[in-house]
Amino acid sequence: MSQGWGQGPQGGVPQQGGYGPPPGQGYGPPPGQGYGPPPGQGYTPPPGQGHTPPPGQGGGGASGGFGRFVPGIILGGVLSGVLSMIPLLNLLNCCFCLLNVGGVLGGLAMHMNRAPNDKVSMGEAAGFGAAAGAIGGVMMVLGSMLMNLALGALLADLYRSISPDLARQMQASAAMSILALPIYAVLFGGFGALGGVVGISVFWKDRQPGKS
Amino acid sequence: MTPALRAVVFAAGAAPFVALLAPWSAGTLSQVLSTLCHQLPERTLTVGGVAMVVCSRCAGVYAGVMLGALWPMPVPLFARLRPLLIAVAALAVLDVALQDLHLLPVGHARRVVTGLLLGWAPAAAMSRALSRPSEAPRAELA
Repeated sequence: MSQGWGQGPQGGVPQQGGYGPPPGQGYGPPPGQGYGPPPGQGYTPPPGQGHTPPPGQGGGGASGGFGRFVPGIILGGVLSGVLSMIPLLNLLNCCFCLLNVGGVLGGLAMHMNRAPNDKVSMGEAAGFGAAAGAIGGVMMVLGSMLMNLALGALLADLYRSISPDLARQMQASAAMSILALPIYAVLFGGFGALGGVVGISVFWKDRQPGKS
Repeated sequence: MTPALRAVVFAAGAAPFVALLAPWSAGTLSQVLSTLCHQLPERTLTVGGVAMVVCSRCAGVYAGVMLGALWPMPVPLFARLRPLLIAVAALAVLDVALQDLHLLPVGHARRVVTGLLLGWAPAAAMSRALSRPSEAPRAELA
């Protein structure tokens, strides 16, 4: 046991002809001819054309993560939903879903004010708008149903006195609102995404990553 | 998130055309879209004898949104996004004003084209921004 593995007379690294490079012929680059770029000729990207992460895929936010948008998304959704359920005012939605887009812009404005140094890419703005718009669409349907429930008792007699068919149509439209909920969410979400794109391009163009 | 966003925008743009392709859904879609369009019959297109569930300008907007979600905006246009968005919005507002002041008749072709541009520009810009990094230059300051 006095001679362990590799410690015998023939074990271990040979005394000569071992695995190291021959003296003076090592594997490093020849002196003065290294593998780096020639001085002054190395590759650097042209100004403004360097690699940046794709918009909406990270790297954009000062504090990272889509979660930083949650308060703004909620506010935008509530604004969009509440404005869209106000009678007469909701006619403005006939113009490119204006109240929905306005709600999204309101939420985005709040986020921009809360985080003045945050950079928001166009993809993130679109995601922000889609989420806020979808919340707004759902809120609008649910809010309208609540309003119908609250006012329904008052209006039912009126509708019946005008026309029994009208009363039945009102009941049918209330029932259809539930079926239409996902359609509203998609429509408002889609137009909300476009609202986010318009907002970041027109109102906050300097707040995109890579812009001063 | 990228494909899902484009899918949502495409689905939103496709809504009125689904009513044409699947007549059983026309009633529900017509009621839903009545909150987003005046649906005046004299301003509505008919396709194959069937009236669309939105007016001709909205039909253009929805078609533009759908196309924009499918095909990203060309890079030269994307580089001038801000003036482009302002221009297409101004064009649509001008057309609405001229038509409602009775300086121009209600023309479906003009309504569809101005609506198409209004819907296409932001949707195609979003698709460009969400596309591959080599194809996604930032919109320059304008």
